[in-house]
Amino acid sequence: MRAADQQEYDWYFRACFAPVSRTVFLIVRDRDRAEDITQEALYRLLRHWRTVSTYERPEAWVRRVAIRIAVREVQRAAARPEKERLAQQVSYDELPDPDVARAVAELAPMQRAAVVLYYWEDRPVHEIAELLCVSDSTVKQHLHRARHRLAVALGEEVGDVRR
Amino acid sequence: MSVDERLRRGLEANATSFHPRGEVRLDRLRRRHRRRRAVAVAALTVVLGSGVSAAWFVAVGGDDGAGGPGRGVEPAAPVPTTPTPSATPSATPGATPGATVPDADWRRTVTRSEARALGVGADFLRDNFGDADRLPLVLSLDGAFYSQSGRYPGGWSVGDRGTVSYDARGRLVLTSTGFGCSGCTVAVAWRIVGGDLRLEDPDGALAAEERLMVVGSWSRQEQ
Repeated sequence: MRAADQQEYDWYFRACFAPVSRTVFLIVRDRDRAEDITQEALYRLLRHWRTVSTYERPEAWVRRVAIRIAVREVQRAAARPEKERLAQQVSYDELPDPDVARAVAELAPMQRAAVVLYYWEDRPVHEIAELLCVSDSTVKQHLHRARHRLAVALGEEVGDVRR
Repeated sequence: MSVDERLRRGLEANATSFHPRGEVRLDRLRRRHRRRRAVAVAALTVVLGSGVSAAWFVAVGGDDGAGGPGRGVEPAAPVPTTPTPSATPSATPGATPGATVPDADWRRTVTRSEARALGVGADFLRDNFGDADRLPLVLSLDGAFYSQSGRYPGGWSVGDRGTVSYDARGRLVLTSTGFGCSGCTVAVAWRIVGGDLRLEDPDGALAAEERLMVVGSWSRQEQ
């Protein structure tokens, strides 16, 4: 890698690491795993640098890769036996809003990812669909079910969706 | 409160409370690099200064004593590595000469109503806010570089990036190297108030869009 490329990559690493880690953290609920996944995505950026650096927004590519890895991780974790999952209990009490964290964690993996991408990343439905490799209507269904479930868990009203 | 608003607030609070250790390591690394750079620059200055002094001393005849020590020292004065802002301190309220904005991620949220009050155009609002009423922004300063990220209609992404410098008045000068406006500069007075970074445009030189995206109070997000 040339020095200029190295500098450019370093810049993307610095720009992406924290924001991508935060989105992944909301999906996987585990700080260490969130950082590992982000590093993995940034490592893939390095491996595919020659191609990805020509894209208009390489940081969007990194985010997409990280989110896909995170969703796969959550799906794998959900498929693990109950005892194994109980052994890896996560504490939410140190978070500013533990109720929201707990309620979102109770959602199915795809619902959780859709909720994080919609409410935290403010992504439109069609982008979420592309990221999660499902149809728009599937995303709408995930969001609809998740909102009703979360409204009950959080004791809030189900308002009108603006988008 | 609707469940949508609760989720937006809760997820934002939880996400921003997470400070990745990798980022802390990166910050430490940057500080180490800056210290090393400062030591190297100081050493280089001393070496160059000594060399120039010696050359000048030989050139003028070091043993005649006519020049005196003052003439021998003058050429060795170190070239300042940063501009020395001292001309008009009143225009840069909190900036002391040679001071720089601390490296950190600085966060603020601008709202659609603020944008309207500033007279920001409809195209800019559509591109940057989409349907949202507010736009969270993060200004990351890292030595000689900056980046500005925002939660734009397509989600969090980097909106601008470039280099950081300081002009003769000590103002923070951001020069974009991004695709949108490469070479564009924004110069703002700055000061730290209660840990927050205040960016100001006392001369009213900035366009409404620049004022919206830059001028205001930024809270330190990291560390």
